[in-house]
Amino acid sequence: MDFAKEITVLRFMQGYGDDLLADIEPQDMCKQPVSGMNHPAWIIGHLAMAVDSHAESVGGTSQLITWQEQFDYGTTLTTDPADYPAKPELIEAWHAANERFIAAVSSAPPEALNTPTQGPAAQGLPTVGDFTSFSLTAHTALHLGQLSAWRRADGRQPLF
Amino acid sequence: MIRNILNLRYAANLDYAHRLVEGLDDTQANEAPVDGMNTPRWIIGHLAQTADQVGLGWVLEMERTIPEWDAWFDLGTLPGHLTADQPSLADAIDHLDRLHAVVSERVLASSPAFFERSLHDVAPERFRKRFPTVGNALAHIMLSHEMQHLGQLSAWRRVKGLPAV
Repeated sequence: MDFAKEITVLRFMQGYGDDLLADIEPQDMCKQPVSGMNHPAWIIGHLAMAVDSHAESVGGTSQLITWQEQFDYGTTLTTDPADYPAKPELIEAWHAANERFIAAVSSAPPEALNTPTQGPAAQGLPTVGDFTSFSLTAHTALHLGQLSAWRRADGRQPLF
Repeated sequence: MIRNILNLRYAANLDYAHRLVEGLDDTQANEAPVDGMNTPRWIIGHLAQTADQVGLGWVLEMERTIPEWDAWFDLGTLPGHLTADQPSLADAIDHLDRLHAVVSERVLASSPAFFERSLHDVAPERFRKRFPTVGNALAHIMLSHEMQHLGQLSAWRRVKGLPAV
């Protein structure tokens, strides 16, 4: 299974994410301009954790298991920066996790990709290959859209 | 394989879009709870306009169906400038449904070689540089671009205190 096109999209979205983050001051990474919004620290931590976790299902090794407690779907956010990794660490972890995911996906055996997806995602993403395609494209895009909305809610210049 | 993945995810995006806007009234459709946020009407209109301009026009080499929507929903237009006689949220979601069907039909009918072709010159150079092949461009337009704006809509719901979908 060839994911070259999805990998192009992930790299594009990572660059877009870097642009969205560039002018956010470190002390604002946990700001919620409106109650209930996901803030930049959680969004980037969640994206890093998600691809890190997914890499395991295609033969990679997870390196951010401890982040799941803080960044998994459904976790509760705080607005205290001391509760989160610093901005450079979050960005570096996200980039590195993307690269590990891309490497794992690129060498994944077909039998792993044809395995049925486990858990709630199985309803719309029946195989690990389907789930991989989603992770490389739509999942990252969804949360960067939230980050784009966060910027607007915080009165910052829209980028897209 | 790319055809099946694109269509599977594209259909899921459309389903998600419907769930995000289901039950919103006209006031909500035009509401920016914080200055500068995109409204549901603009977001869905922009997705329909993009499917037409980029999907049909730039990538699939088909005749466009709603070029007049560029004036209201293209990149750089503002939700606050929409007037009552321009497409409503209901119009926008109807056109998004229709355009999804057109794009999906074309993608499913295409040979694998089609996805490896270079984009034709109608597409702006900056777009062709980022997404050099039809397959690259479709993966972006059908998967990530839509989901990025639906992420804005997801955030809009959170700001409004509406339940997650």
